Amino acid sequence: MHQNGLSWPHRWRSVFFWVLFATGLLTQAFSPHLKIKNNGFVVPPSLVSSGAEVQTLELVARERGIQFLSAVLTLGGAIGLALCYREVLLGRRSTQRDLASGNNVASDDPGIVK
Amino acid sequence: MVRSSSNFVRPTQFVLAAIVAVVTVAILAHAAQPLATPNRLSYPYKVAPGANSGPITPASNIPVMILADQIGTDCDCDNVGSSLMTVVNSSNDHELVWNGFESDGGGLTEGFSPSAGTHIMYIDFSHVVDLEVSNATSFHVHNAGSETYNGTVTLIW
Repeated sequence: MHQNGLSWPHRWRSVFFWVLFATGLLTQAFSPHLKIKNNGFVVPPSLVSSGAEVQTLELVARERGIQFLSAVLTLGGAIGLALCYREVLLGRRSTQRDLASGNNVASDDPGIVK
Repeated sequence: MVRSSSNFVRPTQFVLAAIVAVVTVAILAHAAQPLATPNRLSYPYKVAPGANSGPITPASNIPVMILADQIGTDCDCDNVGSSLMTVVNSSNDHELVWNGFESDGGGLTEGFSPSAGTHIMYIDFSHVVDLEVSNATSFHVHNAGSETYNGTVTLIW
């Protein structure tokens, strides 16, 4: 048993989903940072002033790919965290409900050590 | 003491959960924008006299529509113009192939070339700013005037 009443698999699962969530946020840093204006992409001033070659198709594809990846990682992390901590977030209410209905308040979640 | 600590922990958990939820929604909203935006890219240029912009490479082997305009706000001058053409970045011919309209009633422009400096089309009123071939796959904005000019080159594919 862990000090906080959480088993190690549960703890590692929550760490994994926190890392997944953070990776989704950090992925944003690798996008080309194209602005969207008048229903179109706009090359950022930093790229224009650098005089670097602008590969239009690759630039737009990269922006879309990174944004999609970031959304998937962030959403996956958030859903995982919500499942991991559902007992913590909903515990008090479900405990009260269980008490009112006369059920056993102990959790059936294997992640929570009884 | 334990009770006050417990009272503090629970709201903190909910605040943290709310932050995760808000950040997730923000990321999803931000990610949805580029996925829903059409294939259109604007390149805002600002070119000093005698200088070139960076090379712009259109998508290869598909016709790309080029809308170029000069707005003249940098020099505050009356050299406003716009032009339109289609260009193919041909990997088969190893060159750019274009067809369109010069600015300010300059007539048609058409051609094909991989050679740097080849005129493609004027985009201003006075015909001193034009698009030129950079290399076999890209073009740039060239300013042959005596002032710094700015405007936008928009590519649609």
